[in-house]
Amino acid sequence: MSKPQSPILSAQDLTVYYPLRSKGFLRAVDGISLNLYPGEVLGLVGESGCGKSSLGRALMRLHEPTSGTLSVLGTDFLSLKGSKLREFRRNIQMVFQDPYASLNPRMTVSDALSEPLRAHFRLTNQEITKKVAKTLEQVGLTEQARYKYPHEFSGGQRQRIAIARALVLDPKVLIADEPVSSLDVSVQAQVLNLLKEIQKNTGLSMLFISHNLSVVKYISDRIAVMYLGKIVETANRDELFEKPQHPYTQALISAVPIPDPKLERERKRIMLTGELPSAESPPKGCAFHTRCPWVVPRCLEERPKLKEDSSGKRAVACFEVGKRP
Amino acid sequence: MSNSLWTDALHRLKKNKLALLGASFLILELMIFFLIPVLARLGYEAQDLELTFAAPSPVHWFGTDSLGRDLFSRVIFGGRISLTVGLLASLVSALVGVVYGSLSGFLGGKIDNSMMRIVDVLYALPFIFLVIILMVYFGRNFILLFVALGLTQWLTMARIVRGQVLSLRHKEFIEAANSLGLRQRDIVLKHLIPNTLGPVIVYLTLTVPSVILEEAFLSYLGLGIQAPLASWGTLIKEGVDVMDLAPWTLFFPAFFLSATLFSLNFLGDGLRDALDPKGARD
Amino acid sequence: MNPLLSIQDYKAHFYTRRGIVKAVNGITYDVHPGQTLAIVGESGSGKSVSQLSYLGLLPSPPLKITGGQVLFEGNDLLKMGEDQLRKIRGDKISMIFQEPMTSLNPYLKIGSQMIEPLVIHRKKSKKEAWKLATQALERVGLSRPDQAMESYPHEFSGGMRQRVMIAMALTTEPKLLIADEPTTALDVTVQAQILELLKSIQKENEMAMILITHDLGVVAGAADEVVVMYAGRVFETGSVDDIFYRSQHPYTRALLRSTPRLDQLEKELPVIPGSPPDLIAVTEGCPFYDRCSYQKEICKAEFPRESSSGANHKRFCHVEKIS
Repeated sequence: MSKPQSPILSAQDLTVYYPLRSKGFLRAVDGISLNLYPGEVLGLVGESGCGKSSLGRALMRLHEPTSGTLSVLGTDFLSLKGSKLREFRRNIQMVFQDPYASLNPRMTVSDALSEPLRAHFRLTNQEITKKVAKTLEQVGLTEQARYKYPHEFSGGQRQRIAIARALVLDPKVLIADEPVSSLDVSVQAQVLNLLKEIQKNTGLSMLFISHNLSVVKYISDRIAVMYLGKIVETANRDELFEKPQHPYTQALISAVPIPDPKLERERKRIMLTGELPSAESPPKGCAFHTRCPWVVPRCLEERPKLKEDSSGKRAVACFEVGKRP
Repeated sequence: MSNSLWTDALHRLKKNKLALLGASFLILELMIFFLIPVLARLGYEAQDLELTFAAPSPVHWFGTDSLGRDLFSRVIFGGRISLTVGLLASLVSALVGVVYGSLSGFLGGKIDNSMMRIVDVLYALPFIFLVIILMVYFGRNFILLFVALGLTQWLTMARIVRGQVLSLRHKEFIEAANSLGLRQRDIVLKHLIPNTLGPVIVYLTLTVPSVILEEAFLSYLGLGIQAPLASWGTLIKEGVDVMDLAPWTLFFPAFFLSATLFSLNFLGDGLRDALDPKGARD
Repeated sequence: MNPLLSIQDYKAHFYTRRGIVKAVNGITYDVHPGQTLAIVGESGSGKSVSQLSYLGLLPSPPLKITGGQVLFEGNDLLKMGEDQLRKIRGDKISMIFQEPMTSLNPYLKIGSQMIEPLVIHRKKSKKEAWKLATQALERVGLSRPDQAMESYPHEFSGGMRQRVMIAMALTTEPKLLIADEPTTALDVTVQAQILELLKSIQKENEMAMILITHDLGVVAGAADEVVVMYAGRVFETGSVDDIFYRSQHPYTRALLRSTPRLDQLEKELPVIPGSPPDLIAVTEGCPFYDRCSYQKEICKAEFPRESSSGANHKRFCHVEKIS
């Protein structure tokens, strides 16, 4: 996966701080820089409280970032306002986690899909109908679905509708925030395959956010690991799993259960001690040091920066990397 | 083949016996009161001083009152007034409440805070006394009556709508509408308000009886509707005065008032259950 | 060895306005002392209802237990009155749930909540119970148990609260622990810790555990025996190796294949078409019929009888051999 091309989305030192009633801030996103390249699927994985959803929303400007820069398709996204912002939005769309809450219960599928088209383009009714039909087909729904209401569909089907709505404007970037986490296990694979297929067919650039490492592995080309508002490691998918460098990544991979009894019996787990610190009072220095098996005095004082390695393809934020297995 | 939440709600409403009873009574009542004026052919003001306090008879179905006026006609006319005032005042309160509440909820933050504090202060004022003072000061104006009554009810409507809007604002489908690049105006009109209509309709059906009762109370005090016009409130007042002498003059208006209030309440309860989206898939 | 818990052809239905929901539709399996039985299934499979219902933890009506037996230490729980059941619940049979925040009373200190079962069931004095409870908190890995006893639930993180729940469930040294999705709401790194903890406690106390989950990875690591449920029915039972390596049921196989695995690289995940059925519309036939790739005429008409795939490995399917 060579990357001489420039990123289609580039965030630099993005922060999202929520003011707390008592003094201080909740640093949901604490200085994140990441690049999404054209046609790739970047998986963003992290556990609860790491800020991945906040990051997703910040990238969509559904919640304004507190500071930092964000460039999408070469445009300074954060500086857009009013109608220019609204117009630009068609280039970057989102699929949400909850298929029950992300669709307006009082709108038919047809209305939900035509509304964005009418808001952005001057199309005849015929053209709109055609586009809606095409998009429904793309997500594997039939024409019958058009005049139905969300509550008439199953969770998996609703998610397809949500995906269709996100695609109807032909966006260049799609941010998927835990798109399958609320679905039944037997239905997850359907939606994952659908996203994979669509991404391949349209060349969409996708940021796939999830706490489920197995799912992220299945769909991503590259993966970024988040912990307490910061990215601790990024690498190509295969490299991340073959040789995870950050101790948190190692622990995470080690903790994921695998549906194979023999393997489970034989594997040695890296057990983290302690609990996840609260995002309201993160530890000083490296946020991971309270649970890290490699901790040295420096970790309590300084915060490690995300450093790229010599090849430029991997980045890790840790002082001890390279000194440990 | 569509099965919108409205048709689903209607279907569920039909299954609620009490609500149907209430609705049927109201429809019947409305038909009689407004569409069949010929039934009140005897007129509500025609006096017959020879026949005062007559018991119900084939000519005067509900009997007559102290001035020999046909009680049946007076109950019908009184009903028209009471229902009209009730409905219109409620609509006024709904309009003010919905607009105020949606704006407050949607704008949020400091504006929402101040708007709601105003509501809190107004809530603390004893409205009925204010209305009475207004009535005494400005005279008993029909329009003033209904504006005043409407204004007593909008506060709760505003709170309800604001609560709904607040809870909807953070729902993913509103976030989605934002991310799709839709205008704020369209989001409020097409996404927020339609989803608040359920509670608004329910509350409306429960507001109407409150207003009718308030009007009855005012009229009972002599501050509402003026003779020779009548409303159920005035009729009840007159009836109470001569309760021993001619009980029917109290009974009929009181019966209609109560029955109407009950019906509206049953209908309101039924609508609330029917429109509850959680019940849609049971 | 005699089973600790023996469920025989157990049926429990919900009578709702829309119709009869056959949440549990004739299930049979045993739990042995010291063993972990995992009940795996998706939403609507009946896995939770099957345990909550016989303990009297679900409102009835609308629930109605319509058949079968649930024998605990030889006694049929279904025939017991509420008083008898209450003596067993929280004492010999304990439960922990998915959302520790809602299982703990936010207005009471942890200590007050923990001593309750000991005082009620084991007639301990408050002082004694407090001591035992503090020890239990230590056992589950809370570093400052005295402090924890004086704290309130909201002061703890999700993982810690779940540990408190486990400690509470263990104070009476139950013979059987029913854990309903105990780690689903927890991070995967915390999940690993909690599952380790449960395992070590089990070994120490010779306690049997029913682990209800939809996560096949968790099943593989924690279970000795497995029951696969779907739409109120049991599709397959057996040892964990039987289910994962030798399954002869189309649903189990399809489920295993369509779950992404961290140790494998798949080009494309095989998919089970459709979705789990509406429990009101279930027929007499196999509920998986519409989604199954081995459909036979008879599958639509009648639910298959039990057939054996090995010692203690049972399945319910009309199809003879799955390739």
